[in-house]
Amino acid sequence: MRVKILSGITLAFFFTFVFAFALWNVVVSFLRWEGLFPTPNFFGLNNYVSLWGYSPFNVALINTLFLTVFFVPLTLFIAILIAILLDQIKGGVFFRTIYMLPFAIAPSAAGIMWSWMFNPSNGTINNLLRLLGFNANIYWIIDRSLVMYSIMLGLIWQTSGYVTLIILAGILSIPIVQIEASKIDGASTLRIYFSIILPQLKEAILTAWLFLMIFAVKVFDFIYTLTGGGPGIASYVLGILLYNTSFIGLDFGKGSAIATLMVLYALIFYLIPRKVRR
Amino acid sequence: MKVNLFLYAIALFLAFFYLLPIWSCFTASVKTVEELSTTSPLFLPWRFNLENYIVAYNALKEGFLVSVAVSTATTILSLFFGSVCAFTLTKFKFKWNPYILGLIGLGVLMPFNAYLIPTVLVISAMGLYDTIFALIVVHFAFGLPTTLVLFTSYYLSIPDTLIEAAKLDGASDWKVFSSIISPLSGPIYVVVAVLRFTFTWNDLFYGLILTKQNRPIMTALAGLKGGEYAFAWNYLMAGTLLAVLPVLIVYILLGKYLIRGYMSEITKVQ
Repeated sequence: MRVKILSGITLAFFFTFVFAFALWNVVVSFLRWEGLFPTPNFFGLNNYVSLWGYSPFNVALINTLFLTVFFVPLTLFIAILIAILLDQIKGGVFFRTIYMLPFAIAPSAAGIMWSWMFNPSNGTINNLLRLLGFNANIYWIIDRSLVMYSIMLGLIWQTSGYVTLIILAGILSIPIVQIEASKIDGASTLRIYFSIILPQLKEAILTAWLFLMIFAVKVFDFIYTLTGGGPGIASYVLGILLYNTSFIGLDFGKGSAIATLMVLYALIFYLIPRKVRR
Repeated sequence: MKVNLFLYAIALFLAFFYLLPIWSCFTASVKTVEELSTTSPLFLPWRFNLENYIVAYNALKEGFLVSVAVSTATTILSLFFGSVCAFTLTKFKFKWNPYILGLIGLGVLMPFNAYLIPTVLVISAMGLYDTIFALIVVHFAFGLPTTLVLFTSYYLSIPDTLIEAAKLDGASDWKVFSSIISPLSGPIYVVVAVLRFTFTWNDLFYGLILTKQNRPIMTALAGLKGGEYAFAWNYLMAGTLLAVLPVLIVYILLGKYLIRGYMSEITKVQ
């Protein structure tokens, strides 16, 4: 009896917070809800319609798409290369531990570390480039046209070690006999990776891709402490826009509409891997 | 052999890239303001200026206490309720159990953005805004999908025959849980504990939207960057290192479990 009561309490928490709240969020997105406790009026699709052509939303959407189109495949590609590298050398565990380190650091703290890296006057990257003989005076996160690339560099630093680990686990799960057999047949290392290992990595790559896609749409902490969405609104992403609209602008109706769109977007990525596997 | 040396060179270069931000954070944290602009961020100063750490600690100590309390309480609650609930979901033959398990999997992938606004409204309406209690409840509840996924997948690997044998001897459900399941759960308790502690400690967002004075460590740190220490990089970097230190220690000592937690969170839901 005690077990059932405790489990019931746990599930009540789970369903209330995770599902009832998510549904409630959808309801709020159809209301005009400004300020903390107004008398909400039905607003139809107006919250959604008002996003259309609202320039911060356009910027945020484009930047989020930028991350899914560039950051995700690039990180995946880098991680596959690093996983192959670690598979080839001894001491892979040692390097793996170092490469994973950034993922253990809080994204908000990482954002602060990188704001010093990107500091234009005597920040780490510009200083390193100067030591190497370049006349570097690059405004990494102050230049509007550069800021999203700089953010992407930081995000790659934070996630690629973890993604490498997912891929590496996939490589290590391939039976060693298969690889040995093709070695005896005289296949080159490159050929073994292309014809034997890569095709069997489908599952691991799909897992990594899914993780990165969801990471890219949720990203908030790192950008919040690094640029705060600036300069101006140049590095707005959906997460930053949602926060500013809801908790700075106190327009909860519009904020909920943004959140609902983000959930729909993430749900697509929940369903795609299921389709691919069938 | 030549190829091998080349590969090690690349591996070392990558290690340099991954460690550089942490290293330059450390060098800045022991410099004076003048040294920040006159010396290279790559190198340590001649004399360590440890006063930065005292300043940063004083600015962040309330945040430390809040985060210690919230992370510890969240971890304990998650271990206790999570394991009991997962036990019910896997070892009792309720007909809706498979559906609940499916929904838990979906819950893992639900972006946290979905619950933010209702959370703020409910917490404020209950008068819990700016309390440690609110942070604990929220972290416990939103951590549940992952916690339950980890526990249920572990319990599925414990054979049912063990439990049936105990039940034939007349053991109650609670007795089965506390004397059979729980002692077998050591590794998964560590995985969940490490994961929950880390996530709660690293949280910025809930601190941002649910607190004003009682801010957890990461929110307090972000506040320093946006506020009084905006350009005092030496203080800011010392504070950043202090803030990430507990999780870094966990990662170095228990990294294996942390990684296992991360991995199952992403793979078990599919």
